[in-house]
Amino acid sequence: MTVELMTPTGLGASKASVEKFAEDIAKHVGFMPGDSIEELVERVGGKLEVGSSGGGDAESGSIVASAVDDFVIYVSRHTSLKRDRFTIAHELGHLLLHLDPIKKTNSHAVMRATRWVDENDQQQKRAEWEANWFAAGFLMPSEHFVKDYEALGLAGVTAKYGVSTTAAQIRAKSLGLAP
Amino acid sequence: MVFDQPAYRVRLFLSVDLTGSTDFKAKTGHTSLTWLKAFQKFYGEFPSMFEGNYHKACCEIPDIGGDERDCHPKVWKTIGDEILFVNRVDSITHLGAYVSAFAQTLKDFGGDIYDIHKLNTKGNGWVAAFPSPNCSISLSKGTDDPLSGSSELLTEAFEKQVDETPHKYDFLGKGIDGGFRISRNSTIDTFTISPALAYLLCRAKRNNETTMFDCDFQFHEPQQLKGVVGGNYYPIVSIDTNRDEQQKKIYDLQADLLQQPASADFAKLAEYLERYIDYHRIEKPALKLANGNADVDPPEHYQRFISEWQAEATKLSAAIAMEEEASETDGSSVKDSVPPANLTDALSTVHKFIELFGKSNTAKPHTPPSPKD
Repeated sequence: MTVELMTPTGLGASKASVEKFAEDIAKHVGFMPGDSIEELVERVGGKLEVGSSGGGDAESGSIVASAVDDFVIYVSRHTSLKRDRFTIAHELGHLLLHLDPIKKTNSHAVMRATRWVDENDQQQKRAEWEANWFAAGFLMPSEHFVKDYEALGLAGVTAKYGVSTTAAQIRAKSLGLAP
Repeated sequence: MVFDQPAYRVRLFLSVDLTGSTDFKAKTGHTSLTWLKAFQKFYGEFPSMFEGNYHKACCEIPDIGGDERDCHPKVWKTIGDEILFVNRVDSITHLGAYVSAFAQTLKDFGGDIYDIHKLNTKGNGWVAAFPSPNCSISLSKGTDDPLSGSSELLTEAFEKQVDETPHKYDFLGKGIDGGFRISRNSTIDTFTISPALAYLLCRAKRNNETTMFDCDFQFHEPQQLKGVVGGNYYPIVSIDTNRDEQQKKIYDLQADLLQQPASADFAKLAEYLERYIDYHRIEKPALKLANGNADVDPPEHYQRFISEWQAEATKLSAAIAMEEEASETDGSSVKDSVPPANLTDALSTVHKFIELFGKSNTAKPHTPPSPKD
């Protein structure tokens, strides 16, 4: 039987609701700022691979998911560990937000998301936005982040939350902490 | 965001050992601290003597580049009785200048410290290419990444920092492992060099009118070295660093009587090494002959590495742009509620996710609350 690979499409949820959703999940699983996201993936049965997801492409920073406990996240050999953390959180966002609707359409389908999407495909783009909101909320929960940013500054939150300077800057800006 | 592509580069590694120092400490350590003076001299004088010899060597090479002349040997690290140097080299002429100066320093400093403490020096050298197949790495300090520093992707800026301050970094890869392995064959008279370094130096000698490189090579019985070329016999090549002219004359006559060459024919050695390197697919660094020559094409492994890197840089730039775009909108153009109706589509996956996490987390005192809480 040929497995149908399906690309995630956006749910249409708002940034605030996706971020809250991500923060709630982080609380449920006891994920604290700076905790190992790699360990979390392993605990739920996922796998991390360094390199390509195959198929003749080089889609590092992507996820191939058959089920919530059967998925592989691909990270690049060239990227920093902090970038990888954001990538993994982003892909978990796809897993938790976008797999269910796909399974409801076709229970045998496999979800495949890449960081490289067609700019003109609004559905894919929306899914990417939602995965980004999820990653930001999951790794940098707003309440903690606001306090820590004020106390520790950009470099401090970067170290504490295990995120890149770029990711911390974007989060700070989004929360109105920086221009 | 634009990332600066890391250029292909070749680094030369040179190590010097203070021979006899362990015995010296054992013999004199309980009654005197003379051994301390010996180490003080080694750490204090060898690097500066090497630097002086390097600048002298450069003065005798008309074709050496201005930037090459302005370089100086950089200490990578020290380990007890060993000092390791590492430098990026831009041409075979540049490489030859470092190696000639190092061989001369082994002789000069070895002679000095022998006269004072009856100690001596022995050397070992190799070359390795970066950022592929070998890589530079640092201990993570603050927010920096071990493999890419302050950037989210390995960049030229990171590798330049490594070139400038190698003592803050370590180097990983087969080229480094193999380089360390051959040091066991080095002696006071034999400055061992890796096959790839020997190959490049044979080319330096063949182009002596440009490089001014004129060291003699010795070819020894190949050996099996643990973990190197799959246990196959490995060429052992050295540069003659015999510092006793009378003894050297005796060795030359002895070799003549045994109908053996006193030093290896560098043209044959180059051919042999090239065939050996190609056959065993050992890394063969690409270097132009001299600063004034056109750049040579980097090896295929770098081309593959960099095309993968370029694809990653493009994707990462696009991903960061989308992260910025996403953060600047609240996405509220559609209906939304708490819990959002459109998120309920995902809830069965979430419940399963939390359940899976809870099952694998039973050893921990923390119990995740139910999603209904």
